[in-house]
Amino acid sequence: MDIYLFLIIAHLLGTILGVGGATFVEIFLIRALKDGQVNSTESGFLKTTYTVVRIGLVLAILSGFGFLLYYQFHGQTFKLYNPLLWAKITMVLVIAWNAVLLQAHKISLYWGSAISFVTWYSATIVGILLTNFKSFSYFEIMVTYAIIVVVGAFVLDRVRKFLGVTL
Amino acid sequence: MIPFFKTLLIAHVIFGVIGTMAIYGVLLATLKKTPSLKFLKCASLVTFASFIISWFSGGYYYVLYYGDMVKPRILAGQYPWAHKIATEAKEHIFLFLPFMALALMAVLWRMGDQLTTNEVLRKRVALLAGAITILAVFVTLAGIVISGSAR
Repeated sequence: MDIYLFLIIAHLLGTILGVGGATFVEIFLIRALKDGQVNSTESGFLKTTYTVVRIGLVLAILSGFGFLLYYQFHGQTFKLYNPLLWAKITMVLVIAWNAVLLQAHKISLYWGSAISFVTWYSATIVGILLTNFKSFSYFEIMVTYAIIVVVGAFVLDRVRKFLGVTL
Repeated sequence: MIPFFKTLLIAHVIFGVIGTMAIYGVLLATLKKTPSLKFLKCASLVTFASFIISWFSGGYYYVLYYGDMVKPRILAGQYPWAHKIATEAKEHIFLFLPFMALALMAVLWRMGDQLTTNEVLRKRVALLAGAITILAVFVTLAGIVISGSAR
Protein backbone atom coordinates (compact mmCIF):
# COMPACT_ATOMS: atom_id res chain seq x y z
CA MET A 1 0.00 0.00 0.00
CA ASP A 2 1.14 3.51 -0.82
CA ILE A 3 2.43 5.22 2.35
CA TYR A 4 0.40 8.37 1.68
CA LEU A 5 -2.82 6.36 1.38
CA PHE A 6 -1.94 4.51 4.59
CA LEU A 7 -1.45 7.85 6.38
CA ILE A 8 -4.80 9.18 5.09
CA ILE A 9 -6.61 6.04 6.29
CA ALA A 10 -4.90 6.16 9.72
CA HIS A 11 -5.61 9.89 10.10
CA LEU A 12 -9.27 9.45 9.09
CA LEU A 13 -9.68 6.51 11.49
CA GLY A 14 -8.17 8.57 14.32
CA THR A 15 -10.45 11.50 13.52
CA ILE A 16 -13.54 9.28 13.29
CA LEU A 17 -12.77 7.68 16.67
CA GLY A 18 -11.97 11.07 18.23
CA VAL A 19 -14.98 12.98 16.93
CA GLY A 20 -17.33 10.03 17.41
CA GLY A 21 -15.97 9.42 20.91
CA ALA A 22 -16.26 13.10 21.88
CA THR A 23 -19.87 13.09 20.65
CA PHE A 24 -20.75 9.98 22.63
CA VAL A 25 -19.01 11.30 25.77
CA GLU A 26 -21.43 14.24 25.60
CA ILE A 27 -24.44 11.96 24.97
CA PHE A 28 -23.50 9.54 27.78
CA LEU A 29 -22.79 12.45 30.12
CA ILE A 30 -26.23 13.95 29.50
CA ARG A 31 -27.90 10.56 30.02
CA ALA A 32 -25.81 9.81 33.11
CA LEU A 33 -26.51 13.15 34.77
CA LYS A 34 -30.24 13.04 34.10
CA ASP A 35 -30.91 11.50 37.52
CA GLY A 36 -28.23 13.67 39.18
CA GLN A 37 -25.66 10.90 39.73
CA VAL A 38 -23.36 8.71 37.65
CA ASN A 39 -23.81 5.00 38.49
CA SER A 40 -21.19 2.30 37.86
CA THR A 41 -22.66 1.23 34.48
CA GLU A 42 -22.75 4.83 33.24
CA SER A 43 -19.24 5.39 34.58
CA GLY A 44 -18.10 2.28 32.70
CA PHE A 45 -19.59 3.57 29.44
CA LEU A 46 -17.89 6.94 29.92
CA LYS A 47 -14.50 5.36 30.69
CA THR A 48 -14.72 3.14 27.60
CA THR A 49 -15.65 6.11 25.43
CA TYR A 50 -12.77 8.18 26.84
CA THR A 51 -10.45 5.29 25.91
CA VAL A 52 -11.82 5.37 22.34
CA VAL A 53 -11.21 9.16 22.19
CA ARG A 54 -7.62 8.68 23.41
CA ILE A 55 -6.97 5.93 20.84
CA GLY A 56 -8.33 8.29 18.18
CA LEU A 57 -6.10 11.11 19.40
CA VAL A 58 -2.98 8.90 19.37
CA LEU A 59 -3.77 7.62 15.84
CA ALA A 60 -4.47 11.13 14.55
CA ILE A 61 -1.28 12.58 16.09
CA LEU A 62 1.01 9.77 14.90
CA SER A 63 -0.40 9.83 11.36
CA GLY A 64 -0.28 13.66 11.45
CA PHE A 65 3.45 13.52 12.12
CA GLY A 66 3.66 10.88 9.39
CA PHE A 67 2.29 13.52 7.00
CA LEU A 68 4.88 16.05 8.18
CA LEU A 69 7.66 13.52 7.49
CA TYR A 70 6.11 12.75 4.10
CA TYR A 71 6.19 16.47 3.21
CA GLN A 72 9.80 16.64 4.39
CA PHE A 73 10.88 13.77 2.11
CA HIS A 74 8.88 14.98 -0.89
CA GLY A 75 10.07 18.59 -1.05
CA GLN A 76 6.84 20.04 0.33
CA THR A 77 8.18 21.58 3.54
CA PHE A 78 6.43 24.88 2.67
CA LYS A 79 3.22 23.12 3.83
CA LEU A 80 4.58 23.12 7.38
CA TYR A 81 4.14 26.92 7.53
CA ASN A 82 0.48 26.80 6.49
CA PRO A 83 -1.55 28.80 9.08
CA LEU A 84 -4.31 26.17 8.89
CA LEU A 85 -1.84 23.47 9.99
CA TRP A 86 -0.80 25.60 12.99
CA ALA A 87 -4.45 26.28 13.83
CA LYS A 88 -5.06 22.54 13.80
CA ILE A 89 -1.99 21.91 15.99
CA THR A 90 -3.24 24.58 18.41
CA MET A 91 -6.62 22.84 18.60
CA VAL A 92 -5.00 19.47 19.32
CA LEU A 93 -3.03 21.15 22.14
CA VAL A 94 -6.28 22.69 23.43
CA ILE A 95 -7.87 19.20 23.52
CA ALA A 96 -4.86 17.87 25.46
CA TRP A 97 -4.69 20.82 27.89
CA ASN A 98 -8.47 20.72 28.44
CA ALA A 99 -8.21 17.04 29.45
CA VAL A 100 -5.52 17.97 32.01
CA LEU A 101 -7.73 20.73 33.45
CA LEU A 102 -10.74 18.41 33.59
CA GLN A 103 -8.72 15.69 35.32
CA ALA A 104 -7.36 18.21 37.86
CA HIS A 105 -10.88 19.67 38.39
CA LYS A 106 -9.55 23.10 37.43
CA ILE A 107 -12.25 23.76 34.83
CA SER A 108 -16.04 23.51 35.10
CA LEU A 109 -17.87 20.78 33.20
CA TYR A 110 -19.79 23.58 31.41
CA TRP A 111 -16.61 24.78 29.68
CA GLY A 112 -14.62 21.54 29.75
CA SER A 113 -17.17 19.43 27.91
CA ALA A 114 -17.95 22.23 25.42
CA ILE A 115 -14.26 22.81 24.65
CA SER A 116 -13.66 19.10 24.08
CA PHE A 117 -16.78 18.64 21.93
CA VAL A 118 -16.36 21.80 19.84
CA THR A 119 -12.58 21.47 19.42
CA TRP A 120 -12.76 17.96 17.99
CA TYR A 121 -15.24 19.14 15.35
CA SER A 122 -13.28 22.35 14.69
CA ALA A 123 -10.00 20.45 14.20
CA THR A 124 -11.75 18.11 11.77
CA ILE A 125 -13.19 21.03 9.77
CA VAL A 126 -9.79 22.78 9.70
CA GLY A 127 -8.27 19.48 8.50
CA ILE A 128 -10.81 19.38 5.63
CA LEU A 129 -10.03 23.02 4.72
CA LEU A 130 -6.32 22.14 4.80
CA THR A 131 -6.83 19.18 2.45
CA ASN A 132 -8.81 21.36 0.04
CA PHE A 133 -6.13 24.10 -0.06
CA LYS A 134 -8.40 26.79 1.39
CA SER A 135 -6.61 29.93 2.51
CA PHE A 136 -7.30 31.59 5.87
CA SER A 137 -5.05 33.35 8.33
CA TYR A 138 -4.24 31.83 11.74
CA PHE A 139 -6.01 34.77 13.40
CA GLU A 140 -9.21 34.31 11.36
CA ILE A 141 -9.38 30.61 12.22
CA MET A 142 -8.66 31.07 15.94
CA VAL A 143 -11.13 33.96 16.40
CA THR A 144 -13.84 31.94 14.63
CA TYR A 145 -12.95 28.93 16.77
CA ALA A 146 -13.16 30.97 20.02
CA ILE A 147 -16.62 32.27 19.02
CA ILE A 148 -17.77 28.73 18.16
CA VAL A 149 -16.57 27.48 21.58
CA VAL A 150 -18.60 30.17 23.39
CA VAL A 151 -21.69 29.58 21.23
CA GLY A 152 -21.22 25.79 21.48
CA ALA A 153 -21.03 25.94 25.28
CA PHE A 154 -24.25 27.96 25.37
CA VAL A 155 -26.07 25.63 22.94
CA LEU A 156 -24.93 22.49 24.80
CA ASP A 157 -26.14 24.03 28.06
CA ARG A 158 -29.53 24.82 26.51
CA VAL A 159 -29.80 21.24 25.19
CA ARG A 160 -28.97 19.88 28.67
CA LYS A 161 -31.54 22.16 30.29
CA PHE A 162 -34.15 21.18 27.68
CA LEU A 163 -33.51 17.54 28.59
CA GLY A 164 -33.75 18.35 32.31
CA VAL A 165 -30.04 17.91 33.10
CA THR A 166 -28.07 20.26 35.36
CA LEU A 167 -24.28 20.08 35.71
CA MET B 1 18.69 12.24 1.56
CA ILE B 2 19.96 8.67 1.76
CA PRO B 3 17.72 6.01 3.40
CA PHE B 4 19.96 5.86 6.50
CA PHE B 5 19.35 9.52 7.35
CA LYS B 6 15.67 9.19 6.48
CA THR B 7 15.43 6.31 8.96
CA LEU B 8 17.20 8.38 11.63
CA LEU B 9 14.85 11.31 11.08
CA ILE B 10 11.75 9.08 11.13
CA ALA B 11 12.95 7.43 14.37
CA HIS B 12 13.74 10.84 15.90
CA VAL B 13 10.28 12.23 15.11
CA ILE B 14 8.12 9.17 15.82
CA PHE B 15 9.85 8.17 19.08
CA GLY B 16 9.87 11.81 20.18
CA VAL B 17 6.10 11.98 19.63
CA ILE B 18 5.55 8.60 21.37
CA GLY B 19 7.61 9.82 24.35
CA THR B 20 5.62 13.06 24.48
CA MET B 21 2.31 11.18 24.42
CA ALA B 22 3.55 8.76 27.10
CA ILE B 23 4.65 11.56 29.45
CA TYR B 24 1.29 13.25 28.85
CA GLY B 25 -0.31 9.95 29.92
CA VAL B 26 1.80 10.00 33.10
CA LEU B 27 0.66 13.57 33.78
CA LEU B 28 -3.02 12.69 33.34
CA ALA B 29 -2.68 9.56 35.51
CA THR B 30 -0.91 11.37 38.37
CA LEU B 31 -3.77 13.88 38.50
CA LYS B 32 -6.18 11.05 39.40
CA LYS B 33 -6.90 10.47 43.09
CA THR B 34 -6.00 6.77 42.77
CA PRO B 35 -3.51 6.49 39.92
CA SER B 36 -2.73 3.06 38.47
CA LEU B 37 0.86 2.29 39.47
CA LYS B 38 1.19 -0.35 36.76
CA PHE B 39 0.24 2.21 34.10
CA LEU B 40 2.53 4.88 35.58
CA LYS B 41 5.54 2.54 35.64
CA CYS B 42 4.88 1.35 32.10
CA ALA B 43 4.25 4.87 30.70
CA SER B 44 7.33 6.34 32.43
CA LEU B 45 9.45 3.52 31.00
CA VAL B 46 8.04 4.12 27.50
CA THR B 47 8.75 7.86 27.92
CA PHE B 48 12.36 7.30 28.91
CA ALA B 49 13.05 4.63 26.27
CA SER B 50 11.41 6.72 23.53
CA PHE B 51 13.32 9.86 24.46
CA ILE B 52 16.60 7.93 24.48
CA ILE B 53 15.94 6.48 21.01
CA SER B 54 14.86 9.93 19.74
CA TRP B 55 17.94 11.44 21.42
CA PHE B 56 20.47 9.16 19.74
CA SER B 57 18.81 9.08 16.33
CA GLY B 58 18.30 12.87 16.35
CA GLY B 59 21.81 13.51 17.65
CA TYR B 60 23.38 11.29 15.01
CA TYR B 61 21.30 12.95 12.27
CA TYR B 62 22.21 16.39 13.61
CA VAL B 63 25.96 15.73 13.65
CA LEU B 64 26.24 13.87 10.34
CA TYR B 65 23.55 15.48 8.18
CA TYR B 66 21.83 18.58 9.59
CA GLY B 67 24.98 20.66 10.16
CA ASP B 68 26.32 20.26 6.61
CA MET B 69 23.16 19.82 4.54
CA VAL B 70 20.20 21.49 6.27
CA LYS B 71 21.60 24.31 8.41
CA PRO B 72 23.21 26.24 5.48
CA ARG B 73 19.92 26.03 3.55
CA ILE B 74 17.95 27.43 6.48
CA LEU B 75 20.45 30.23 7.13
CA ALA B 76 20.43 31.22 3.45
CA GLY B 77 16.65 31.00 3.18
CA GLN B 78 13.69 33.14 4.21
CA TYR B 79 13.59 31.94 7.80
CA PRO B 80 17.13 31.99 9.27
CA TRP B 81 15.63 32.60 12.73
CA ALA B 82 14.30 29.04 12.59
CA HIS B 83 17.86 27.81 13.13
CA LYS B 84 19.10 30.71 15.25
CA ILE B 85 16.20 30.48 17.71
CA ALA B 86 14.30 27.20 17.30
CA THR B 87 17.24 24.84 16.70
CA GLU B 88 19.45 26.51 19.30
CA ALA B 89 16.70 26.31 21.93
CA LYS B 90 15.69 22.82 20.90
CA GLU B 91 19.17 21.31 21.02
CA HIS B 92 19.71 22.52 24.60
CA ILE B 93 16.34 21.43 25.98
CA PHE B 94 16.69 18.19 24.03
CA LEU B 95 19.89 17.44 25.96
CA PHE B 96 18.32 17.21 29.39
CA LEU B 97 14.84 15.85 28.57
CA PRO B 98 15.87 12.15 28.84
CA PHE B 99 17.46 12.85 32.24
CA MET B 100 14.25 14.46 33.51
CA ALA B 101 12.37 11.41 32.21
CA LEU B 102 14.88 9.11 33.94
CA ALA B 103 14.42 10.97 37.25
CA LEU B 104 10.64 10.67 36.94
CA MET B 105 10.88 6.97 36.10
CA ALA B 106 13.20 6.34 39.07
CA VAL B 107 10.77 8.05 41.47
CA LEU B 108 7.79 6.12 40.11
CA TRP B 109 9.55 2.74 40.15
CA ARG B 110 11.06 3.21 43.64
CA MET B 111 8.37 5.24 45.44
CA GLY B 112 5.31 4.84 43.23
CA ASP B 113 3.44 2.78 45.87
CA GLN B 114 3.38 5.90 48.11
CA LEU B 115 1.53 8.02 45.53
CA THR B 116 -1.95 7.28 46.89
CA THR B 117 -0.98 8.04 50.50
CA ASN B 118 1.60 10.80 50.03
CA GLU B 119 -0.22 13.82 48.54
CA VAL B 120 2.93 15.97 48.43
CA LEU B 121 4.79 13.30 46.44
CA ARG B 122 1.86 12.91 44.01
CA LYS B 123 1.73 16.67 43.40
CA ARG B 124 5.49 16.89 42.82
CA VAL B 125 5.46 13.93 40.45
CA ALA B 126 2.58 15.63 38.57
CA LEU B 127 4.59 18.86 38.48
CA LEU B 128 7.67 17.10 37.06
CA ALA B 129 5.53 15.24 34.52
CA GLY B 130 3.87 18.55 33.57
CA ALA B 131 7.24 20.27 33.12
CA ILE B 132 8.54 17.42 30.92
CA THR B 133 5.31 17.48 28.88
CA ILE B 134 5.53 21.24 28.24
CA LEU B 135 9.22 21.01 27.24
CA ALA B 136 8.56 17.98 25.03
CA VAL B 137 5.70 19.80 23.27
CA PHE B 138 7.93 22.85 22.78
CA VAL B 139 10.70 20.67 21.29
CA THR B 140 8.15 18.99 19.00
CA LEU B 141 6.77 22.32 17.74
CA ALA B 142 10.33 23.63 17.27
CA GLY B 143 11.03 20.55 15.13
CA ILE B 144 8.12 21.42 12.83
CA VAL B 145 9.30 25.05 12.57
CA ILE B 146 12.84 23.91 11.71
CA SER B 147 11.67 21.37 9.12
CA GLY B 148 9.37 23.94 7.49
CA SER B 149 12.17 26.46 7.13
CA ALA B 150 14.47 24.11 5.16
CA ARG B 151 13.35 24.70 1.57
